[in-house]
Amino acid sequence: MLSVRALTRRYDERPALDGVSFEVRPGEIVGLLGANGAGKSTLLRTAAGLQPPDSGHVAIAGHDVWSAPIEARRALGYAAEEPRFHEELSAAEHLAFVASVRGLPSGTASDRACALAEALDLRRQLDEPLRGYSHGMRKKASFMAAVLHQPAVLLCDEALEGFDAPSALAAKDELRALAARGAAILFSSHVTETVERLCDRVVILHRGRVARGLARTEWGAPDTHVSPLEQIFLELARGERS
Amino acid sequence: MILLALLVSAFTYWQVRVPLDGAVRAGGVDAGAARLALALASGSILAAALAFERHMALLRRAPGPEWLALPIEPTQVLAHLRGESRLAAALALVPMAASILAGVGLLPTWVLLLAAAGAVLGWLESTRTACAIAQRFSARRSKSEQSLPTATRLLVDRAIASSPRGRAEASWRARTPASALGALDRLASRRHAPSRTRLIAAGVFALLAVLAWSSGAPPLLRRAQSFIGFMLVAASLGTWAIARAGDLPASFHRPLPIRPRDAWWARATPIAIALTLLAAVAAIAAALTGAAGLGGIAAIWPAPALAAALLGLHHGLTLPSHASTAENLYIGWLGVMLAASWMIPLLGWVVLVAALAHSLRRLPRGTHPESLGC
Repeated sequence: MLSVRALTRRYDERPALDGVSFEVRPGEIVGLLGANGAGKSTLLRTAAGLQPPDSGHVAIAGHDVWSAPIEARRALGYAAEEPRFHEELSAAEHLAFVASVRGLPSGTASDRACALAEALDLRRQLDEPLRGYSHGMRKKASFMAAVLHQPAVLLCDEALEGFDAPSALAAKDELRALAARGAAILFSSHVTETVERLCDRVVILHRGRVARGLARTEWGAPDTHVSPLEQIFLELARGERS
Repeated sequence: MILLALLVSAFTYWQVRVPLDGAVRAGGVDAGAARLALALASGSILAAALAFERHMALLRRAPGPEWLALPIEPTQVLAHLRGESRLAAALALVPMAASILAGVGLLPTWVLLLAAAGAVLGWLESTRTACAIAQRFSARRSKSEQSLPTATRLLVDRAIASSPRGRAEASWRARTPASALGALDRLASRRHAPSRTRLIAAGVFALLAVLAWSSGAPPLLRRAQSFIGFMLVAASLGTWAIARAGDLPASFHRPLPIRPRDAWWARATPIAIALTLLAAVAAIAAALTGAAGLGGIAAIWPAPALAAALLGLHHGLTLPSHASTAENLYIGWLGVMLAASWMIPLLGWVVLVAALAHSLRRLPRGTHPESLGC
């Protein structure tokens, strides 16, 4: 479970987060919406332990991110908005490093990485150096590293931005599968359509504060996970692959 | 930096003044002027080396297509980069100015004024030539379309092709975080140019440290030569540790369950093993050539060398993602240590211990991500 309590963070004197509190329960996908500068990335970076808060607490699976960071990080997966890597490594080596640090058994880790790469259409480029990856491919590699260990809490900062349509659908399926296994997922995006189809609940940030929280029933989300246009694109892409 | 500049100035002043005095007394103004010219020429060579190194580094990560999209001529961008590189070489002006000051009272004013003009001209020409050579080297290595103008090619060609050497199957073994970082370092050190260069330098100095015992010089001199080589190995390993820590993308590493102590052990262990092994080899070489006993070198040398290398590691860990700042600070400390040693025997070791203690106190800040810029 992810718990955010009275989180405040200022840049100079300007508050980026101002007493933000909410929870993401196990099995829930919560969307984080807000205009540019609303504080979405600051919230996710603070929750991931990349920058300390001025006040307030973030707990991941019951562990405070700042007083028990290692325990919190064991349960955490984080897909950054602008992923950075060891550029000399291939994606496979990068994922193998993540898996070994997280203590995943070798067989399980490589099988899962291959399955994810297959689903995200990255299988053929897995042994190529990350330096040569396009923006979308980098985002896919970052997403794979974040979900490789099937984390209890997953933070996605514009995680699907740059994905092609079939890969975005596969990634959304992966997120739903993780949630079904009990993961708490906080999903930040500018794309409201993705959020309304994927998320169970939405937290809207405005000027560093929680402006509103909405449950899925309140916005009348569409029934299908795939939009008609996505469906057409998907059929074309599948036909091309086969 | 001001303190360092003052120390370097004082050191150079003293090193130039005494032999200059001797030369003027023995050979008159002409001999003194020649001696001063030699010192200033050394300064110009130092400036050229600094400018060359800086310019090569800047061209390796040149601004790229986003700058080319601006309404600025590529040649102007290159001129700006040359200016940046020559600015780094301004450091060499400090010992050059100290050399001229060392001549005050020993050489006539007109000679000193001539020397100052020559020094400025020498600095300008040597740095200009160094930048031109660096540009030519980079252009030759450029992989961009040959028909493009050189300036455009240099700016477009910022990505250094990853070396195919060492490309192998990814290892999926489960490890401890320290062991995983160690494996990552071994892998990345083969492909990450700054890490590789520093390891090669350590290897060359290690070879020299061992070969020094067969130089035929008096035993005490051989010991000194080997020890200097040994300490240069330690300094190179310190800069390697900085390069490895500086290569850490914080936004990727920080969400992983890696403790600062894992990062410390991952680098400290291979450094300690390398220095202990080298001390053992140097001790055997010393014993075989009959220049020194086996025990003393193997037992005593690793400690100061390890302290010097760990100082680099601590700087790298407390300034992750800021490798060049960490390296400048580290080299600054080593410079202060060297100058202190030269002025008062053993004072350098006091400086090293003080620096190490200071860096140990700063080490917990490595867990504080304010300065990561991630």
